[in-house]
Amino acid sequence: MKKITRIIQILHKQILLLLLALMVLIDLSCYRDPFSIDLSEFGQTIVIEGYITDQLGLNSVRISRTVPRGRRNEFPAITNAVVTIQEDSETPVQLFETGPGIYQATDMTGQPGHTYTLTVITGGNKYSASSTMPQALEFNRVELYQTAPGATTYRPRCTLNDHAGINNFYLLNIYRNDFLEDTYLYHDALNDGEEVMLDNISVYLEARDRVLLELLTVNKIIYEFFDTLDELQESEGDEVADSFIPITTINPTTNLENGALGYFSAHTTRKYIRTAGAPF
Amino acid sequence: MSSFDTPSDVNIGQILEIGIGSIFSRLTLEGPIVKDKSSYIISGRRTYADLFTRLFGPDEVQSSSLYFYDFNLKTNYRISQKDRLYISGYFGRDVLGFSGIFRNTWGNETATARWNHVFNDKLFINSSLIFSNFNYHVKIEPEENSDDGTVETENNINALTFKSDFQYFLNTRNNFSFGGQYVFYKFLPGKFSATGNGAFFLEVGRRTARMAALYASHEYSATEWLKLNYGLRYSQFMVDRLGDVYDFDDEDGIPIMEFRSAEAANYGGLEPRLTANFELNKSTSFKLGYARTYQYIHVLSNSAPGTPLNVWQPSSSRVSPQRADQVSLGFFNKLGHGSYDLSVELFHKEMKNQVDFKNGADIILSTLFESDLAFGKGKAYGLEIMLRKRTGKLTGWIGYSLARAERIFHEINNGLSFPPKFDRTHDFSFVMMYKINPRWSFAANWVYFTGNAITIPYGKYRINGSVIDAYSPRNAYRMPDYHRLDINFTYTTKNGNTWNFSLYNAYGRRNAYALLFHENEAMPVKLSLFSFMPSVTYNFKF
Repeated sequence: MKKITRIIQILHKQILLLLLALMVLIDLSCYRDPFSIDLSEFGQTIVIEGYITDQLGLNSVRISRTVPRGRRNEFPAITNAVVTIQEDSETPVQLFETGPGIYQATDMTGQPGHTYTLTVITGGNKYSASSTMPQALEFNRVELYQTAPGATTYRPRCTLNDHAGINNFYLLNIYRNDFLEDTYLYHDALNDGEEVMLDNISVYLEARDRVLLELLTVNKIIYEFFDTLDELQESEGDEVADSFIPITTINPTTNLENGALGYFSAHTTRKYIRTAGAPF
Repeated sequence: MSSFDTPSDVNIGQILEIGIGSIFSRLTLEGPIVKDKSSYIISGRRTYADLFTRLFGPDEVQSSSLYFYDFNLKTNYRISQKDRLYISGYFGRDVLGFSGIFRNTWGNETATARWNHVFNDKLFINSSLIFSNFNYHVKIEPEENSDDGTVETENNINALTFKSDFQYFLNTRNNFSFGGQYVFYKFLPGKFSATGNGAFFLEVGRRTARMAALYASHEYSATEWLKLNYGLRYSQFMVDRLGDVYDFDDEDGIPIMEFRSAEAANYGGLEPRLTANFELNKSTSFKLGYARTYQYIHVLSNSAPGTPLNVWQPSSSRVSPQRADQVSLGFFNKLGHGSYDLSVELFHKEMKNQVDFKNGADIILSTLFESDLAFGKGKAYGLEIMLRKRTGKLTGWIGYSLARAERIFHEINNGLSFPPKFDRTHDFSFVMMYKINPRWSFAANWVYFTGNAITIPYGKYRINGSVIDAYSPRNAYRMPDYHRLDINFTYTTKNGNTWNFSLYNAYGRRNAYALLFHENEAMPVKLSLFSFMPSVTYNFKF
């Protein structure tokens, strides 16, 4: 997998180099003019980041807006929205605003196999999305291993048993001392029903670092959302890449209706906490 | 690139024509091989933009190469009264490179042999064997002091076509044409290799395909005022099953075969067409037309602003051929005692099995592995007007088209319609040639068209703890409109040599090549390639 990633990187590098060279040449006879475009037609879009899990009270819907390009990274929270989550065709449960733009239901627990429908009403508009919670994948074994014999740095790895006959999609969040270090995305197209070893985690721990592995079993659309998000993040920061990266630059596909950005995910979550260097 | 006439039948001897210009030079040699039997014309051109970049560019560009050259060859040979053989060839290369860093070449070449045989004054046949190749090659040298080796990418499309076309003139009212075609394609969209540390060799998407077609059509003058032309073509496209080649180990226990190899597929279809021409009087006519076509090779283009990448995608087990049905209605009129032609045409086209990139698709990989492609339908409709003046000191034309193309893809833009990149609402062209006197002539052309449809980042938002760009719906924004005037004066000397003075982009319009969106800046930067560009060419003959 790493080699494939490397090839992809080389390919991108090639194209960027080529474009960069083109631009150097172009620069000789080229003009750069400030260009004013009217972006007002796109307005400020609502952004909804919502999830419900199979753990009591572990749910959250965060609502904000986009800001125009060039502004500071201060994203206005949308307060006083009416936010509900409905399980199948039960009575919708209202979420309460626990912080600016953050809505939660403290006594709600999701269950695999059930469909959850999020509805957000704000500013006279209604946004909704549905998500069916998949069956949870469980950690089989989690370990921290020394990066070399006698080394004092550790890397986490884990195994899990994939459910046979189901297309499983899962995310692994790695927190180091409560800070999210990285998110890894997996699917089981090549190892359906097998015991899977996740050992590509490039998070390095020192002794006494606390590591939290969080395994989320998600829907395909959520997997694709995070996959696109990854690519968008990679393409940012480089001037040439900003406009030339050969990726169909577009918002990640969402399950939210009515033009909102973001996602609503019903997923299961499993956590495993360990301290590096501590006895097993 | 060039439109040379077939060598003249009347051979007067060898002619050498040389054109020396400030931007490119060319050389044409024309003459008989065997008197009254065969003749040839050879020509070559080369641009030399890199001479300027070497002279005036910054250091890193001094060792650059940037040029284009091509060769053209045409010969004909009269075998007998009834047989003629035409052989032609074209070879062109674009080279862009920085010595020691990288070298990039694009090229295409074609070779054609055509045999014309006359059976009698009613029946004749043209048979051709055509070879064509398009290739693209990038070679990147490693950075100094790095463990990396040379990285090479190659991309190749070959086609070998054999076709025979019969023409049968039964009588003044009936004219038949029929024939067949067989094409052998070889695609190699991705060959990658690296030497040195982390060497690998990878070949994906290699496949061969064959296309066979048979057709017949009948041109029938039913009455004085009604002319019908109808025909039927059947084409079949076959893609062979070929595996992909990898020669690196699977690491981390994960097999590499997540890349699917090409699978065999077989498509075919009938392509009927019909045009009916109604002649109202000597100068006015109407035309009604319908045609169905299949297209087995798709062209994909990225919608990011300014990305020059287009990718060729043959049909396969996952990618169905594109089918288009077009109806058209035309009106033609001769004005001013026949010196002006006016044509007005309306068209409507429905297209099935269109291919585009999914949201977030990686362009290179998605075409190689067909993984990130989305399928949908499209339509296009519009109006085309052309007024042409054929005679007199002033000749030329004015053309305008008003058109719209849309696509509907379930997986893109929430299933709402969006324009393809090259949707041009307005497309205006004006071309004129004026003979001032026997020595001087003047030509000008002006073009104007709506900018490409692009997807742009209009804002940003925070999600999952990071800040990312918010993009407009697919192709919802437009590049600035493009317009340009070129003018050209030609002076012919007494002995037939010419001086050519031209000014490209005469009023220096800075047409946008790309819009660059920088992080943390509200507005983009418009990048434009050329302002105006004068050039002088001297053409002389021996």
